[in-house]
Amino acid sequence: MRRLGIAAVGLLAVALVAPIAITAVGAFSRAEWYGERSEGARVADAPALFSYVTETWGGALLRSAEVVVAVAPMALLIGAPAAWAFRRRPFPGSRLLESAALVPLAVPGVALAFALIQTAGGFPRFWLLVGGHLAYTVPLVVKTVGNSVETLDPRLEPAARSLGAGRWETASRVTLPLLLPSLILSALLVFAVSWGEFNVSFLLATPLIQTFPAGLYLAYTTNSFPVAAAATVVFLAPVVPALIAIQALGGDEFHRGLPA
Amino acid sequence: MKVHVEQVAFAYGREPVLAGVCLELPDGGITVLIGPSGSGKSTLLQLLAGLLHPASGRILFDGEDVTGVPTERRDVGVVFQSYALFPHLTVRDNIAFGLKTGRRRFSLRSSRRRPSRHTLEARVWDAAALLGLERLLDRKPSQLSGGEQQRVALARAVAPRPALLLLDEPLSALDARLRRTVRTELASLLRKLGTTVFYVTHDQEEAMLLADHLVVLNAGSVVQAGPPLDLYRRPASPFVASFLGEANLVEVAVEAGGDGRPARTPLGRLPLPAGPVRGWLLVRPEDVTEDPQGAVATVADARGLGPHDRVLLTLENGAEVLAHFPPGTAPEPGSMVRIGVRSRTPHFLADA
Repeated sequence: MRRLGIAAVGLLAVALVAPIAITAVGAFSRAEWYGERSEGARVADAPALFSYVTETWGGALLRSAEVVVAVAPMALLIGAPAAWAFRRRPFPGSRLLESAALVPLAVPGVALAFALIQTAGGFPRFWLLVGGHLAYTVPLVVKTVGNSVETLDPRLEPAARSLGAGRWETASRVTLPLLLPSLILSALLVFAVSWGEFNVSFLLATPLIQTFPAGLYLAYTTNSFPVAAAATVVFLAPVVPALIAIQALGGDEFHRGLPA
Repeated sequence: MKVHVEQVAFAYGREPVLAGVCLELPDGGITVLIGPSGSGKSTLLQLLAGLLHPASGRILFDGEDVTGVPTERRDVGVVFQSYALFPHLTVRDNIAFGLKTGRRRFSLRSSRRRPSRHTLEARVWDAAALLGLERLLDRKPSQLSGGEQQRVALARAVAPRPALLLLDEPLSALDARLRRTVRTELASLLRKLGTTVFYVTHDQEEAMLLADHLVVLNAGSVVQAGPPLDLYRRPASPFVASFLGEANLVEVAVEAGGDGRPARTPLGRLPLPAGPVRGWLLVRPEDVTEDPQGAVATVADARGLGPHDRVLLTLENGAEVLAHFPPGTAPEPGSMVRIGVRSRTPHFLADA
């Protein structure tokens, strides 16, 4: 059983790490690989390549950052109170609604993107992008925060209030501190998902409003592999610390186990 | 603080939980509310705490109407069944929580500013010392045993010195052995505090041990209230009789003209009220004795329990009687005995 587990973890690691490793190796591969880029300029070495990448896709990187900065707080502001309501103030149909909140995860990006264009095409394209990203990230917040709310004794708030704490004081001294790990965790998840989101972003992108993954697609289809790979590595750089933080937080939550 | 509950009704949605409850908690006394599960005990406690608000009726603290006052502005402390300790705070910070909140006490008598840092530490220490928690102050709740958590919950509730202390089945999460020791400690502690206490339980022994004033709740209504031994000896209904301990209810009918002189009953000659009346005689198992002039009974079952022998008897008319005999005196099963009633005037319950 134990050996099987180790084998499974090993396979998973290979499956997850191999593409990234190949990409990274590709990004740093020899100069002759690069050859002539479609634009015609010649890149001599890796640093030159990276500066070329940031120069060409700097706008898209910035755009991705803008989208993430808009999406993360909105996803938390929508998802966390919803999770709280589903678990603490259930109303007729709230179970159904909570399940429905997960449905966007299964809707193909194509369908969602076209639905967004059809129904809200008049909105600025940037906000359509944000809307598309929210559809994929709010469910994660609802689920993560909801699970955390579930582990809290529902008597904690009455206890705080009986000790003289008003609603605001109860939230700031009891509820929020206890939910903080799950709020941070879901913020990191939102960041990771929104940063790497391709489906919706690609279909909603315009030449001016384009997130990095959408631009990356064009890089892979029109540039040589090392250029696209180098772009990918630049793009992945901020994700790695976030993923490590997610792992650490998730682990902490796991080890803390059931509340006393 | 004296508490009055006047005609309070409450419903969860369409389901009525409490109907016209009237109650008085004596100042500085321990009022125990006992009732079967689902009788509305916990709801009544939450109404006193201000965590729920009644559909109708009033709640008065020292004559002041607090019916619409939220929990944080009532001068109450609550110990919950699950303890509800704050898991992210140490024992020290749990106890200090109620001393640091911006509570605006409703009653003027205890209105005061937040204590200074020095007083705060002293108050935390006092509460901890009262419950023997001095050495656990830096622990988190998850590092405590059930009994320790229970004590922290109590220390946290009493630290702000509330005028009314509410306890919702505070011992039910402990195992039976621990519960027995803790409830004795709790009884002396609550008496020492001198606060008005409202204590909810479904455990009859706990209720008898703790109560100055016992209130029996059934199906959302107060069925009887008074000193615990009065309720035990003179219950108002067969329900109260059998809820507070084991009871033999012997059905009797008195013809017209009975005058209180001993009359024949299935349990021998016993004094009965003037007739005509129908009802039951309450005979507690400890009041059943062997009596050479008494009624004939067959021993159906006998078992020594330690403090007493538990004997199940069958009367000639087929009725069963439970008796507690002194240890080691139980007759053999199958043998015949003559039994009588120790108390000269068994309590008579008229048929409603």
